[in-house]
Amino acid sequence: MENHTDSELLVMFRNPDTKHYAFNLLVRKYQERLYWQIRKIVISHDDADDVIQNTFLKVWGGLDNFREDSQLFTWLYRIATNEALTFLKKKRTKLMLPLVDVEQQLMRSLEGDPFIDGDDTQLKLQKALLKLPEKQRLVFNMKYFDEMKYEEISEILGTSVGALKASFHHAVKKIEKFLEED
Amino acid sequence: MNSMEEKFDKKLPFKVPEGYFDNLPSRVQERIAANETQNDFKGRWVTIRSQLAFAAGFAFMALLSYLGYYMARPLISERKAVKTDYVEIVSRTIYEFDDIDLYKAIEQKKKTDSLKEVYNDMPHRLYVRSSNCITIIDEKKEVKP
Repeated sequence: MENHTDSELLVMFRNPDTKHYAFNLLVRKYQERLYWQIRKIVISHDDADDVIQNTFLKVWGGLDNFREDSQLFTWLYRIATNEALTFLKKKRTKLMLPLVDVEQQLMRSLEGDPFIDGDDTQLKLQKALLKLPEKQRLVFNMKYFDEMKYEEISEILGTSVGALKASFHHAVKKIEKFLEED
Repeated sequence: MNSMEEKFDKKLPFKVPEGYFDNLPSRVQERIAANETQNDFKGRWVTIRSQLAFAAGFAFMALLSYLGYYMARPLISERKAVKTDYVEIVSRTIYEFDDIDLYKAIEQKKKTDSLKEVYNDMPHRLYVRSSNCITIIDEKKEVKP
């Protein structure tokens, strides 16, 4: 199952007889990486579950138009990131909450979600991350936890490498400051 | 950055329910199937709705035309004659006039042209006038001394 390349999966997907099978393989191949990317943004497992399902629904609808100009994973990652950010934005609009309150909600999820399992230092880092602006938090997560190259992040977020480096630098500085103050 | 890596490992403090990733692909497939059924229904409903809207629009226009026609009809029948209508009336009845009668009437009129003559010749008439009708009930010639 894991041996299928992206190109093979796409060829299978474009064949109506193997479309569903190919998509199932694609979901199995990428679900974990996408889930963790989403989870880092929305924190709560239930929210992450909603967002990843919506992400795969979008992928199902758009995969026919995927032209392989970029890597499949980059494309999937971009959809997942956008879905997660849109989810937070909708939450903010729906509950008429200011930015700070959403951060507080995420903080509460970090403390109260039954699927949080980490030591104090890991939680401390996550709490510090929630105090960062959204873009800096994204860049930090992708660089620090996923160990992605700036070029890859640039392709996903549509931001220049220089700007990403600056964002990451600011994020590290702010986190260090938060941790010192704490 | 290095100090941060020393302090914090790169493990995330999150976990998922047991068997979550085993079940996710089938749940995604179920959502896709449900979504396609819904989209199919939506697609059909959109088609039916547009056809219904067209039919309703047509019926409304037909009703409007019908009402417009029947409401305007009495106005057409009751309308007053305009100047140009007399041309038509005259052209229709022109053959009922006799030119000779007309000439005779003019000749007779010429004879009683003087006002005095008219006055002298005018008999005293007693008449009754009611609405548009005048009825002569007696006529006497004045006897001059």
